[in-house]
Amino acid sequence: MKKRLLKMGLSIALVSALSFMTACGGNSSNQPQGETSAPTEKTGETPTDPMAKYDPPIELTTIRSVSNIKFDEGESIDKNAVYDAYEKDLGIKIKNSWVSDKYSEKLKISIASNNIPDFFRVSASELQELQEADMIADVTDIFDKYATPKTKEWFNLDGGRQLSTATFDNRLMAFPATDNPYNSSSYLWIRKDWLEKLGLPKPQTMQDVIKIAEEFTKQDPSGTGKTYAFALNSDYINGGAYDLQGFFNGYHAYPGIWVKDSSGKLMFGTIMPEMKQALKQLQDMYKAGMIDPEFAVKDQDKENELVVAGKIGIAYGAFWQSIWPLQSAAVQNGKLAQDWEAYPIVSIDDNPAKTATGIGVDSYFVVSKKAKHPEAVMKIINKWIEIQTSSRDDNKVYMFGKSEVDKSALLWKINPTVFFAQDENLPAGKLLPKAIEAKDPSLLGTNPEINLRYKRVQQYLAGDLNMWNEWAISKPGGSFAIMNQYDQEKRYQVDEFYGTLTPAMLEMKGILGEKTKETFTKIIMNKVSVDEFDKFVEEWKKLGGEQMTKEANEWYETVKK
Amino acid sequence: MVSHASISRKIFVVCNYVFLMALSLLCVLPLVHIFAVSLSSGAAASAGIVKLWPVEFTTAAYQNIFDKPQYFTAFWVSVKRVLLGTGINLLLTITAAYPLSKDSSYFRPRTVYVWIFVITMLFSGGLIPWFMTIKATGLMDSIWALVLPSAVPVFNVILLLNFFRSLPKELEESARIDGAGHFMILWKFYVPLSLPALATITLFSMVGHWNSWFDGLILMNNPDNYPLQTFLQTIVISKDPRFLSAQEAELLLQMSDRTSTAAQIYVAALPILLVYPFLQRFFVKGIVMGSVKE
Repeated sequence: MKKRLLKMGLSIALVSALSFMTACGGNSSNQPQGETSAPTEKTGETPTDPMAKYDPPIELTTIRSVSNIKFDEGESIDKNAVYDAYEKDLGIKIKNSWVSDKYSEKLKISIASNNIPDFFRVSASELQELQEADMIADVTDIFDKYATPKTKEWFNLDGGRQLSTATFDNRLMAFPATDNPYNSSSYLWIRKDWLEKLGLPKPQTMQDVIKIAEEFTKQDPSGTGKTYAFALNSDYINGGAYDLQGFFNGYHAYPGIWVKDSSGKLMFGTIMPEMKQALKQLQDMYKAGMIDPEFAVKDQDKENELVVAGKIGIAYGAFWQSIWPLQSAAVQNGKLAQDWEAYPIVSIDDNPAKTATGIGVDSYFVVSKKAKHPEAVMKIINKWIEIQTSSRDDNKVYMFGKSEVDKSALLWKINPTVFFAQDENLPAGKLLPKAIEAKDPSLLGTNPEINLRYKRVQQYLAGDLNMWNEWAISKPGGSFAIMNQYDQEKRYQVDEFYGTLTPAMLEMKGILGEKTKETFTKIIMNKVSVDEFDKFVEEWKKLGGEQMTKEANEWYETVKK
Repeated sequence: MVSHASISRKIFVVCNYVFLMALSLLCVLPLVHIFAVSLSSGAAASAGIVKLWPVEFTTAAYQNIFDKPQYFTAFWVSVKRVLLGTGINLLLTITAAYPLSKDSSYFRPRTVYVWIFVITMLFSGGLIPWFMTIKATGLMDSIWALVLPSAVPVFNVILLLNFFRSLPKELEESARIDGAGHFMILWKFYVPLSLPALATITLFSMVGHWNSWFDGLILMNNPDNYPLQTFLQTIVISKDPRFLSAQEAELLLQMSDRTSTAAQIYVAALPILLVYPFLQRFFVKGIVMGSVKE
């Protein structure tokens, strides 16, 4: 076993080391390639109609992960109605070089062996590596020339922040997989049935939350013998579900993102002095036996055991927390056993609590330098955005497959590039509660996802408890409504750093993250005094945090002008 | 053995048995637990109340597996891989070990060859060159990619080589006098006499082939060609909800279904577990024979 682990570790180290080496070696051989591909760009199509069809059809290779994709009978990721539609409409044959659910592992090998397809999806750090290795094409001109006005509008809805995360020295090197940043906002989920049982009001302040936590643990509403305050998992700083981001935000601390300090400079939220107060509170609660002493070694599923058993009544987490992991706790044996409800996060003082969100992009589509038709990728993207912005009948195949009927099978995921609107879900938070109250689906508009959600809510109201999770999200006062409320009350604290990752970030973020988690966990578990936080800040700076901050501010100077 | 054991001996025996029993329980209990989870209801499993006996007994998880055609495709790939791979491994191990077991006086370049073999065991080209070689030979996406790169397990060769050397030389000499050639000697004397050692390396190969998943992942471009363990790897993945769009979250629900995960793990582990008892008797004999020969 040990040997195997060692072997695995070694191979991983080798992959990364080699990917770096081959990447550097590849430089020289790639150079001429890039030069020769430039003229083809210009001599290609005479008119720059961004949607012109290729005749004869061209072939474009990509790579796919198929986890969570369903297919129509007889179709597969290699052969399906969606790929056929691209060929029919754009003259682009999409071919998968490989298909794997262990996408990033396989991609590393492909990159290291200099064997990348024409276009593919990568993470931020992979984008950085590919850019340094000079393996991907500069898509600035392609975007200027071939993006439709609608596409340009789509990418610039947030003022170009997401685009700038893929811009190196003013050159766009990838298409960011746009998404809305609000999805990562935090919510305070509480068991409403417990609140009612104990006659407690809805939480308005952090003091209320602490009071509720105390009452819950003291009174043990479900009579299980031992009740804890918060559902917590080992990834509690920013885990999405059962984390504490919303709690920290209540103290105006924003761990994990960059914020402006009083002097107008960027600082990393993890070392804000406000963190200390929040950690102190957690330590006090831990001392009082209000926090699961095993939280540091549990993942969400494991922690969920306590929730299912009725031993926890408060859980900070994302808007989708009702889907996972709460659904399995709320609905047990065909009955609604626990009534969880989302509330806006609350503040420790008079300033309203802001919820920390990232930029909203976590992956990118890159084009290989060796691609013969780099502009074809832009055309595919144009197509997707056209489908999203206007639901015409001849576009339905892209969303719903060959039957062109919405079967809720999410067949749109077959598309080789998928982008979400930068304000996705905000309209949902406004429209859905209204339509549900008025029982009038015509208020919803044409967005397919919003309509799907309405349908699911109706299923819940008709007695389908499997749809409880959707009800908790979309109902009046549900998490979507709160998402919209945050927006109206300007309570989003968006990451101020939206450049490409700096060298120090790439190098140090992992180590600093480990250090942070270790220290915070020790403080919460009362292994060290809360004053350890000050020492941690110093160490964080010394270990590369200082350098990271310096580079972040250098970048910040360039965008301030 | 003395029949009247001293008190300290008795204490030792008791302690030893307790210790060994605890050790074997440590190995068996996780299996029993997973088996119990696989036969429990989803709610009981996610509440963590299932210990060693199924709670709210149901076979739904197993039915789920039998509904998944991909599972059987992967299972079949694994079976093919084990049969082919073990066969090739055995054949090449035996034919390589035989000449290398000869004395250098008889087979002069023996030491050189042995070193060549051993060097590949100590140093490897690394993952990327390995991958590129296999790609260049056009094996990608075929069953041979899983079988041929590991066709000669050097460790097994050395094991068998040493076993061959421990066989009495006189046997070979007398066979030679009677006119037997190398092939005759190898297949009629060496192989039948080395059954215990062969059983050991057969088991090594089988378990190795059955359990390996990484090469399947790297060398197969189409998930339909995944062997079972690679397929399982992709199912029992750790989730990262941050990369989750709203609609995808629903599918996460199914993924977090522990009972079906447990059932799949169980079905995958079962075949190889069943092989052990059959090879067991060779094992015991092998140990005894080795000790007498010393």
